Amino acid sequence: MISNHIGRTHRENIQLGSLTAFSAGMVNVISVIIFFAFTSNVTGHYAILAQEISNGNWYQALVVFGWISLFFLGNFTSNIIVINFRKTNAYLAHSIPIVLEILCLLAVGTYIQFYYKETLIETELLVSMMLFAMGIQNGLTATISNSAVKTTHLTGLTTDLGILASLFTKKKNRQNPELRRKWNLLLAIMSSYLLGGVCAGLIYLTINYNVFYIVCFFLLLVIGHDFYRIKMNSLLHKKQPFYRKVLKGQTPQLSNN
Amino acid sequence: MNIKFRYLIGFILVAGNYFTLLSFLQSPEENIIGEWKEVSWEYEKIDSLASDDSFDYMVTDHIKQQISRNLIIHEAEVWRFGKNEMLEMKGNGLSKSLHWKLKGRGNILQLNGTHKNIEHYLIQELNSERMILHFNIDMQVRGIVKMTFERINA
Repeated sequence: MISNHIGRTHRENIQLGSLTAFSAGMVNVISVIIFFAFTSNVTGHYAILAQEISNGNWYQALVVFGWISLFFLGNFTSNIIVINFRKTNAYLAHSIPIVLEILCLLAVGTYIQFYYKETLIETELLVSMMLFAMGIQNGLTATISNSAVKTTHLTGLTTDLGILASLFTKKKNRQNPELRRKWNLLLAIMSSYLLGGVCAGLIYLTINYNVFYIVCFFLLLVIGHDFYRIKMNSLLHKKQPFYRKVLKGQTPQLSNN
Repeated sequence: MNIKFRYLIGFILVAGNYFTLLSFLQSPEENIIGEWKEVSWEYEKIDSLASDDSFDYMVTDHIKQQISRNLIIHEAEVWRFGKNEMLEMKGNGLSKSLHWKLKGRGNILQLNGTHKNIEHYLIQELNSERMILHFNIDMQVRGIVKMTFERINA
């Protein structure tokens, strides 16, 4: 899911998009419930920043600017890790940002559960950390999938869905497998994001702040899935060195000898 | 100059300016401290069909009573926000103590009632003289009520 960035399959993109969008949807709804602030959509924050500047509320404008900057920094951090370590170990380079994201969300969840006094400064800092985590996730998924998957960018996603829906009015486009794959991917991300939000809203009523741990579990699934696959592949290589040396996507051929 | 050094300098400059500016500004949590007197209750928005020049946006006392009957702020006219997150409300023979908190970017006022009931109000404006709160009313009356306060004591 995250170990390949070249020659990615459609299935890998759908798996990555769905799982990360589900967790982003959960994080966003939880942050609205607890902090009254969105943490995975930045377009709204730009509008709020402009509004606060026009109203002369400089403190609030700076706070929102800080949130946007942390989302930016999250994207920067994940991509800097990926481009610097990808050649050494692609899986590790792609896993480190997710581990960072998990650490941020765990820190927020634990802090809320044990220390949160609901002061404004705490709220602002915790929202900052969540925006940083979402920035990391969005940057990573976009980098790995060559910008095919952006889990928190629902504005762009809805735009693409609208465009594709209009393209599908032509038979030629409806039969285009590339467009159909893109449609399925976008639909999977949108549904997962929505489902994540709904689930977070529902389960928050019963399990409160533990929602953060559930989000971390889903992110661990993303890392764990590839870890398991890589381990299994290496194990099979050791056991069956000759049979497994067939290149992916190529039919085995008999040698002339 | 090395590109890494440029990035580092850029980051330090932005962060330094950001925190310097922030330290000069008063947070809404400090701004709200003091005593506020309620001056008016108005409809912020109404049905477009009913709007004409003669429409009176002021909420009548009778409607105000109906709206606030089940609210924490019922009959409160003077609100005193303390530093310890305590809110004292005084009104027509009324005096009660509550807890207040700010949420979001300081734009949501949360009031914790005595029976664990929580209410949220949107802070539309907050400066040294005036505070405007909005809240959605869950009645047949559609729209948002705008409560205006004037500062009595800091």
